[in-house]
Amino acid sequence: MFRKVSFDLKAGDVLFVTGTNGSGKSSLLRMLAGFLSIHSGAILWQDKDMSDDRVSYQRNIHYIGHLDAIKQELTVHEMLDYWRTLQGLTSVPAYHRHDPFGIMSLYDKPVRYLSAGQKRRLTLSRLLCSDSLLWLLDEPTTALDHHGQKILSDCINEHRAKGGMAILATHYDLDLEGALRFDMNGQRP
Amino acid sequence: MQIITRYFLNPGRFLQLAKYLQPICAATCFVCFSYGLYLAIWNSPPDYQQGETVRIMYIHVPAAWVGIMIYTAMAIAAGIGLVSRLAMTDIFCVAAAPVGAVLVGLCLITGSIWGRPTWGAWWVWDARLTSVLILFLLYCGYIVLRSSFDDHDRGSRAGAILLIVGVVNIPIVRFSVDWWHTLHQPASVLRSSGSAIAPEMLKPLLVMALAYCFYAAFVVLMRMRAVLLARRIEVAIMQDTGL
Amino acid sequence: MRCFFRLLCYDFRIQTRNRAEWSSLILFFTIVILLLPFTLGPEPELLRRLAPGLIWLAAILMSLLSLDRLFIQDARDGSLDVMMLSILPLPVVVLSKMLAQCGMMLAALFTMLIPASFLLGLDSALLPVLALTLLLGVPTLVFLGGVMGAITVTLHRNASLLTVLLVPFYIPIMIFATGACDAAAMGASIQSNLLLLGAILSLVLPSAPFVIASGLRQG
Repeated sequence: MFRKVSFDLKAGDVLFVTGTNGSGKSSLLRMLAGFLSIHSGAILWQDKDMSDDRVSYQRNIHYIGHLDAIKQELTVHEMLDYWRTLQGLTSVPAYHRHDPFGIMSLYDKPVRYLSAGQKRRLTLSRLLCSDSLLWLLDEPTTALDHHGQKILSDCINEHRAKGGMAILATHYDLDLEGALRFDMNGQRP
Repeated sequence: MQIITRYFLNPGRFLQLAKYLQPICAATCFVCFSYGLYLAIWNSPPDYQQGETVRIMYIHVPAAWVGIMIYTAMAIAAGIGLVSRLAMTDIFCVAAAPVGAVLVGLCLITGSIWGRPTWGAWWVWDARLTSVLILFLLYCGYIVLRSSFDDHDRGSRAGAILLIVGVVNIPIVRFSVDWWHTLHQPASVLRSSGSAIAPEMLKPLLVMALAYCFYAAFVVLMRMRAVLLARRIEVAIMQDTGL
Repeated sequence: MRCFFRLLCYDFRIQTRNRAEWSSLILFFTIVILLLPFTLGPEPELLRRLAPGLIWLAAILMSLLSLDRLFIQDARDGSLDVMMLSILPLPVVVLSKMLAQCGMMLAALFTMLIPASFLLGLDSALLPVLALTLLLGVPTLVFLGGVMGAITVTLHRNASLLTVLLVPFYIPIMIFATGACDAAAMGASIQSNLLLLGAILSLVLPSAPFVIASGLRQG
């Protein structure tokens, strides 16, 4: 797949992973999420190898891939509640108080009637359903309009301010100051 | 144990070892088959009830034994492979599956041929026959499953789970004749109260069983070499195209 | 624990709202039952004797169809990733999904049981026995289907692959279930067959979620 990939992230960092199609951006993110096995090398989380205790490592990350993991049969608020149940949260939902993506206006709409952009906003709202430290976002700006991209940047900045980290694989440049960059095309054997 | 670790788990050494072992297995198999068939056809007594048709037993029974042994070996290898992630266990399973399937198929066919004059039916749905048929279907399922995967790692893990879930069938095959009233003959060789079969019949049976074992070893070694080399070629092709 | 029940409610909700899928499965079951008298001949005596086995056959075919889509839908829309990253242990999430699928299967089968028994002329005395065998057997079918579905989730679905993998495991269940019905028809004791069905269920139910979770993680 690819070789000689190496970087360090600290609290408050954002990393942009760029590269042409097929350079392995999605595979890298899936490896960091623990979905793909690594043949050589290691992922260290707080100085411990991730593969020693994959399950507790995965509790610290949030992964959003190309696909919107939404169920056609539920409504918007049911979908959010489902995700929150998967995260083990049963208290008052945070998005009632703080809804940056503006999906609460679609509260009762069945998910199948949303447009692609609205579905993407719903998927990104999942980020607010848990307190994960590391966000792994694969092409998060797909189907988002300009306003939506601005909201995403604000969310990521808020997350960084709280000490979180984010790794984005994207073709679009989001407006994030102090972002590190990593180009997959430099790494091909 | 050391020998296994050194020779069977290292692909390079295994290829060297297999090159020597294969002709030995083939020769021993040929010798055993010749002697076994000679004993079975000329030197063993006909059954007092079944007459000459009992001679099918010398083909049917050892095929069943070795077929079941191969599945058990595959299940054990699969378990080891899941825990330790050794590639050779997967290569063994992939190589041995068709051999086991053929032997169990042979057992079913010869059993059916034997059943016709003895029981009057080509097939009966009793516990022993059904559980052996399930074993055959498990083999076929494993072969089909493994061939659907392009990624060998994923395929080996999926196949290992199938083999381990299916290992429940093995005790059922062995003990089905004891637990249920079946038309099939109850266990007469490996019993806690000692073997119930005449020694003149036991000897050809055991020689044939040995012959089947060496046959299986020969073919499995050959297939393991082929699978190993095919995978090396795949890796070379993938590296060549820059993937 | 509360999370598990909420998750279960949502999984049920997802299943029940998927009306198109379940209506087509129920329709499939009905068509199989309708076609059988045409293939076997309309003699009522023959159909009455074979009725429990035929209903079980239709149930197995229906479950093979429904299990095909068990995890594939989640893999296709990306929900599998969310499930694997959840705080709740993966076996728990899987158990909830399986139970929801079981519940819907049983609901669909019990709805169709009475019309099917009319069409095939099943003895009404056998109906409780048949229902009991379905109650014990269908969860086993679903959980085993889940195991095979989990290990093949990354493959481009070949319709017959799951069938080939599941048939060796479904055969014993069918044997014991129809054995219980036949014993009841002859007035003999149904205890041994039902106990065997129960034993298989008690073996499969606790272990399947863990096997499924490990299969999903490996893939």
